[in-house]
Amino acid sequence: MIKVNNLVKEFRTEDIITTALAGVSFEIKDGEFVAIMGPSGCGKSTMLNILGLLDNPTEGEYELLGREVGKLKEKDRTLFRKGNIGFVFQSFNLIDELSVYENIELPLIYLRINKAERREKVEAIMRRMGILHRCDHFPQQLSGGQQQRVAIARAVVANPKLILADEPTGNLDSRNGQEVMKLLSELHNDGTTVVMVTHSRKDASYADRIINLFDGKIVDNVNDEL
Amino acid sequence: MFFKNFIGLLKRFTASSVLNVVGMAVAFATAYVIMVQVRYELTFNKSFKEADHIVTLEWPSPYADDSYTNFISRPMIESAFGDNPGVESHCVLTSFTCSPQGVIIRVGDGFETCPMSTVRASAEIFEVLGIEPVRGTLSKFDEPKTVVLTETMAKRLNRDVGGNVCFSADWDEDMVYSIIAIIPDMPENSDFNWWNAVVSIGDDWIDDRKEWSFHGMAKVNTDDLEYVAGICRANLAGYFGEDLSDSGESQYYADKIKKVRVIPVTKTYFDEKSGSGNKGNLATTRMLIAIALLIIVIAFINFVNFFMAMVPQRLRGVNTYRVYGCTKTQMKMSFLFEAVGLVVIALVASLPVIGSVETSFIASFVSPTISLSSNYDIFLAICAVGLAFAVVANIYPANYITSFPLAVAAKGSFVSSKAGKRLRTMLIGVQFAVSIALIISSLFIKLQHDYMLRHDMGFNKEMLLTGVVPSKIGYYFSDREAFASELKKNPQIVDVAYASGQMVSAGRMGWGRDFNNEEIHFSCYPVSYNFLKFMGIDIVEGEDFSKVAENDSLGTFIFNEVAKNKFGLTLEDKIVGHNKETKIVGFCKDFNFKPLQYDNEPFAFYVFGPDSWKSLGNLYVRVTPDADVEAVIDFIKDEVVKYVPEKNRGDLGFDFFDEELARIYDYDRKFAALITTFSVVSIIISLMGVFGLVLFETQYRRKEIALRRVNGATVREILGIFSSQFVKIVSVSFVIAASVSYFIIDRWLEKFAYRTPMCWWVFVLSLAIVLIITISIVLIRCWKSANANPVEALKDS
Repeated sequence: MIKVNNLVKEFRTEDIITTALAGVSFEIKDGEFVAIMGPSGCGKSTMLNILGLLDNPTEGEYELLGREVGKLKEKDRTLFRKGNIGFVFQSFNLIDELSVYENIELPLIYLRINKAERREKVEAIMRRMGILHRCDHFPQQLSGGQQQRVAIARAVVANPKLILADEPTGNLDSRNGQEVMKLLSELHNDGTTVVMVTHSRKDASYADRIINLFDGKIVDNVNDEL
Repeated sequence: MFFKNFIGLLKRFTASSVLNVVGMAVAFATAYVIMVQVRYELTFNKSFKEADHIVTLEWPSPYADDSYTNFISRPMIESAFGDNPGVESHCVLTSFTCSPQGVIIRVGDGFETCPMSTVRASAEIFEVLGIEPVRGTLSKFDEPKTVVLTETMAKRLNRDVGGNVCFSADWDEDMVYSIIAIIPDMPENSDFNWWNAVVSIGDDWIDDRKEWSFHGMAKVNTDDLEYVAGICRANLAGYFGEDLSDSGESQYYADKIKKVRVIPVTKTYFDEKSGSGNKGNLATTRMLIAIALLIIVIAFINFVNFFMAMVPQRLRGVNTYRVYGCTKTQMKMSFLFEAVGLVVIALVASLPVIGSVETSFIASFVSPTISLSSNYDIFLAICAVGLAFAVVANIYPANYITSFPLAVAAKGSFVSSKAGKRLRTMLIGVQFAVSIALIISSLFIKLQHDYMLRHDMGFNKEMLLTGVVPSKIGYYFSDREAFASELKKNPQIVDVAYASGQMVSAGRMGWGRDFNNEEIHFSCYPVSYNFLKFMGIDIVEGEDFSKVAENDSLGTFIFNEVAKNKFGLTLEDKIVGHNKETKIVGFCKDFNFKPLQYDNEPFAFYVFGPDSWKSLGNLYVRVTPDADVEAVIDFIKDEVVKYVPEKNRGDLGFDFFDEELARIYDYDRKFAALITTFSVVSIIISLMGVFGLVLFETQYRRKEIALRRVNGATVREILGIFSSQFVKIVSVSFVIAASVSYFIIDRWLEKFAYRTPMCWWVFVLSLAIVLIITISIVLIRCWKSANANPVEALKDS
């Protein structure tokens, strides 16, 4: 599913160049659950942003679903992202002005799915996530755990082939965090590829494989043995 | 989705949305009011059919180089337009009325007088102006004793076609005119708006070259007005060639004829050289348009500033949309929808604002009605401008907020960029600069207006009442004296004098006379013999008029110093008056007989004597300093009605001279009032912006304030941080605004011959006003944040 080869990402300001990724190469197979770990500033989130087509690498190759996507223009990245990638953020990133239902519905609208089908899909995923009763609520009316469920529901509602989660439990207590990880595990078990950035060894234990980054380089790429 | 986002914006950012909408609504209403006035001015004289082809004949002014008068003798007009291939038809008109006091009509068994402004014109006037009768026919206009009334006048008199009116102070069968037609009222924004009635001029003055009291107008059949003017000049040269072959005046006229011109009536209003009709000021009108746009710009600056201030709070949502497939274009369209939505709400909100302005004092500053039903097209234009501004104002912020890398959304760590802050600072600076410039301008315009009212015009205007009395009082010396002695029985009345026309007026009777083989021109003001003494005008040479002058059938002159020096007049000289050669008994000190836009020109007081052909209908009454003015005015009215029983008391009006003077400067007063109003509006909108931004800033910098407080900053120091940035912005804006407004005001004051000095304190006061209000708002808003418990702020963040 994912092949990256010698990926480099540099951030330039007027005075300095910061290298976030310094020649990273790895592969992720279809249906794998991979955790990316490492200390703060090691390039985890940068890696995830590139994998999610939110950003382009400065150098290197990135092949997603058999297509080279490392040098796509923003418009093409948006098109490619639609329906293929779902995102789960640490801070949920729900839209305050939209209800739970509307937040989950969002990716389907941009996929131009008709209203009836959207309703069917959204209700199905809400039922699965146990948040159907929260349908008309707004994000501020939910607990952190419920907000992250909504975020996960939004990430998977379009049946993406890849889910990218950036510290999905970072803003949750341990009980809610565990529930979120179980949900991600279930999705993985259903055949979805999951790539997760985390600081937590416990969360990483749900993954098939852990990639450890340090100073923008992979220092370890092993199957989880915990 | 667009609509959802818009509703979300209103809910989440209610304060800024309300400030935005209120600011824009006020700006749209203000722009609407301004544009109503601007349209009135720009369409002056343009309501007539083929108005661009209606021209007036103008003669080089005898008083000032490079300016023109439209007062010309009738034979010259007939000659210029008579045999002119470029002219389709032409007419002659004059405001010399049949009866300056209006008309008298039969009501039941009695009579009633009614003031009526009548124009005397040749029959072609209707063809030239394209006027069609509403009722009746104009074919009999040339027949004697016929009159055409305007609709309003016919309604007022309760008369229609077939009825009659009498052009006399008393009912006189010889002066009864039949109403042959009713015509529409003349357009309000035209030189002819004063017309109540039109009567035929017949062949009167058709050969009188010395009576320059006529206007010549023509309908031309070509766009080449220089061609028409050329023929006019050739015709006039031919006319004078025959008439003045043996006269020393030939050269004078030859020189003047070379400069004769025709000008479309659509252009006279703004043409500074033209002597025709009412006068506008193109610079003022342009300034009004600029102000209308600036006020809308100020309102939209708030929109941009609020948008930019909201970026840190909105960016996460925007990027989340984009992460899930929303394109940049779709996002920008969503912002455009928001901008348009706010503008639409503001436009709707501006309707009640306009409604309340219509019934407020502000409506009196504007010449035409500001009702929406009469100006819906202007409101639609404002809608279009508002929407266009919404599109333009949205471009930068929408591009800015969608320019951030999508990856930012993942972490949600946003900071307000320096570029965004710099833009906001610059835009606030523009608002302040405009506000300060408007304050400076309005203060100077007010100062100039007050200066004109308070200026020592060279005569005594203290405790002076004035008004118009019927010709039955004003015409003959004996009546004037008899009426004056009745008035003087009131112990509160010190003295009484009479004149023909207002003491201060931009236009008055001008006489062209032969003197030492040259033609001299001067303004002539017929007065009662005691007028100069009454007004406190000093005689510098010779003597004042005496009662004897009232019995001298040749008339008597007193010239001003300008005339004496310009023409080289002496007390031994004689000038033709209204009859024959007339003696000059004295020269008086110069005084301002025209508004202060004008410098002093040759001028003569004239006492007609017994053979007067002008009523001295303008009564001047000096009252004691402690007089009960209302009671005195009532007394004067009672005495007028006692003297002229058929006079309707309600038609009489007496006022302080200062009020009459103020009416002369009405255009300037209205302009001053409008600019002051707009300054206030501009400041309010700008301060709304400042308030909103301080609101954002204090929320955004809540953590910073708390950390500063924890680290020992006092409340005063915190307030200092916020207020100092606005002090800097206001200071820089002031430097720009002061320079620009100095230049503009200096140019504006140039049109006044007498002008107020450029006082430094006006600039300082403007700076102080803006600084005090701004700092107050900033301090009030920041006080709460600076005093908040820092622990709470840090815990929340």
